[in-house]
Amino acid sequence: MDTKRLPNSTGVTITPAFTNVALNGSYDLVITNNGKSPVKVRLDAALFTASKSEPQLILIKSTDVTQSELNKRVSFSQSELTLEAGKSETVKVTYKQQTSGFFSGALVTVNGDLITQLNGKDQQVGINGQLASVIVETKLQIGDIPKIITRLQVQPVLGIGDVNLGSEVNLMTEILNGTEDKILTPSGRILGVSNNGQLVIGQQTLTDKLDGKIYPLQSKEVNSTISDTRPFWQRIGNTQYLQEVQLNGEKFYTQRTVFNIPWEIALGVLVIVGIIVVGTLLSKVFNQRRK
Amino acid sequence: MYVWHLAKYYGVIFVKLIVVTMISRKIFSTISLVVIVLFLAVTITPLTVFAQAQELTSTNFKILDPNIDSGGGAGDSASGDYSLLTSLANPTSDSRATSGSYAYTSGFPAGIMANVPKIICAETDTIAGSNCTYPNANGAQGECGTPGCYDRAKIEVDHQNNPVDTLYLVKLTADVTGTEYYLTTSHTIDTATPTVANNYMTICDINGIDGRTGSGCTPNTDWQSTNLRGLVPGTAYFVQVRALSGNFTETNFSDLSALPDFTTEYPSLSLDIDIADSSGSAAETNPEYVIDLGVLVSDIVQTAPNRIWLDMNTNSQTGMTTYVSDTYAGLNLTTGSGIIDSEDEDLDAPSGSPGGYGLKTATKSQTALGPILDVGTNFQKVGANEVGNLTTSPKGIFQTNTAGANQGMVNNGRASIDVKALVQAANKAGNYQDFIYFTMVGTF
Repeated sequence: MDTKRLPNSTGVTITPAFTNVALNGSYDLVITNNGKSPVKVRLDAALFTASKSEPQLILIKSTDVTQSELNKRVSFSQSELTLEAGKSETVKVTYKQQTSGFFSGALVTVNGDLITQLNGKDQQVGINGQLASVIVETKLQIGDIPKIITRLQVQPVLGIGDVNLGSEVNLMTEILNGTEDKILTPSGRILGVSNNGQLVIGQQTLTDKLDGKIYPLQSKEVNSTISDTRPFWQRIGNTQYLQEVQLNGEKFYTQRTVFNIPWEIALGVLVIVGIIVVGTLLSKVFNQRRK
Repeated sequence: MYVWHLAKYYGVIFVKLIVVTMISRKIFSTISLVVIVLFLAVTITPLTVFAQAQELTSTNFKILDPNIDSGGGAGDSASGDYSLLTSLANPTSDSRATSGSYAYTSGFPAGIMANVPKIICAETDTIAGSNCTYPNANGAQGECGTPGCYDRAKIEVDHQNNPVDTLYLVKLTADVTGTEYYLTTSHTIDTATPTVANNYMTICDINGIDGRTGSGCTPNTDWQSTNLRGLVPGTAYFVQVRALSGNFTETNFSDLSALPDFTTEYPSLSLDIDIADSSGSAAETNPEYVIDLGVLVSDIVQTAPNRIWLDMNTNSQTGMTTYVSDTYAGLNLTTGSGIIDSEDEDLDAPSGSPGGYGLKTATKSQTALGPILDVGTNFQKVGANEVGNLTTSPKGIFQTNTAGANQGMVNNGRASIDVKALVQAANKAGNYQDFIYFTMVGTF
């Protein structure tokens, strides 16, 4: 049903441009020449850093680490190849060594060595294209845990402070990724539980709302609402909201408690108070007339 | 049996008439009484005739529980010309037909099945000419960027004239592993056993649009764009759908295709370089790529006759950034030592070191998504000969991102850049060269 078609553009395509590989793991990097003439391709190890201002990975050229040092971190089954027009080649990329605070990857340079292209006449500029395939190690280390903060705010839709007069509460989840070299893939849920930890009002799934990844030094906020559908007599008292957020396989818990006075009771009290007030006023009026 | 019922019925009417007559004689005249009696007789006498079974058993059969009823009152015609008085085997009249744990669905009512729906399209990497009605301009690549969707896809379900409130269940089966997934109401896929609440949706909910009268559909452009989310990259899937229109009427799944209906792409980046003049928006040139600045004349800004054209494509939902760096941070003398520094300046009013050299972005376009944006004012300059400087460290030149209404993915993005240089008397004579690297990095 789905008719496979080549990309519209020519040039070179790499896949995957982004992959999750554990240390000492490897993956197949497919390089495709969509053009009409052969191209030379060179592969180099590279380091990337995450932007502090927006979700973005930046290629760095470190003066402290030589290319030979970089090549110890990532290796390739072949580092130079010629791609015929319309053909693909697969290169096995092995992730060998982690660099704290950085992402490793492969830099695919098209027509890598241009020295021979320039004829030394006039002023010439050789143009190269490079494509990055970035390795993201998702497993969190012990040192990463304190850098990740999950928060939960519970605010009754109808209430005063932490006292809920209604049956709905607004929930605000915030996740802060304080790491510099981990991209978090979040999923999670919020449970309404009684004091003994028993699930009493179902759960609010966060996974769909957390769609996407959280880049280093970025945060994500999710707002949702949970409704307590229990009979009003069961809603009297404390309800705990337990947030379970799963980030790259690690679970983070946050808990908040809300004291419930069901609106049915609040309304009943209001009616009784109203009757007393009106009754008192009427009796005073009658007493006044009698005098 | 029939005679007895008939006698009992008219006996009751007769007694009623006698009673009425006896009461009325004291009040009305004989003529009036006749009129009243006739009136009551007409009104009491049934206009309908009940069909009574002669026998509920015979030597050939035995009806244990006939469950004869009036059809639930639903048989009255709109015109009032007729009424359906009896219906047989109505499952709702038999308390044993349903319970909390089972439902007996045989018989005629259960035979009114919904029509088996069909899959109109299932796509991840199509271009213009897509089988899907929405989107239809640039196919799946117009929704997910080039070369197509890696963790999402677009399907459309054909309702096959089922009512607008019919619910549909979409099943995906991964090729090779055979793992079965069901589309959830949040449009992700899940292996959990499907339920009406979590998995069954109307045409409007699945396709994001249902133009039929009475659908009450509020179009959702997200689901019109792609409505299967959370797919595994590089995986082939089969798609099937079934319909549920009221209780007891769920169809089988639609036919399984002989080949997978679609295959997801991988997260990808594509970059192509072309060297052509300012009219070369559609030019395709082959490597190797060289910009020739020609002979530089002192104090005259030289713009290279050809531009650098970049084709940039990605299916990254968060976007991509293309950086630029060079080897010498300037134009380097090929023999001896000497450099024309690359500086962030207006070459018409040079400052700093003698001469100057840099890039200025010229055009940006795309077929869909994106758009391709300049990265700040790094190379987007106002003056005709104002340039951004090249350094050995990468600087952003183009990007797509998800800020505001921007889309991270881009389909057929193309941009062009002018190369400009200026020599002055203080610069050494000779031939200069440089090597520029455009590096494309995705943010998946």
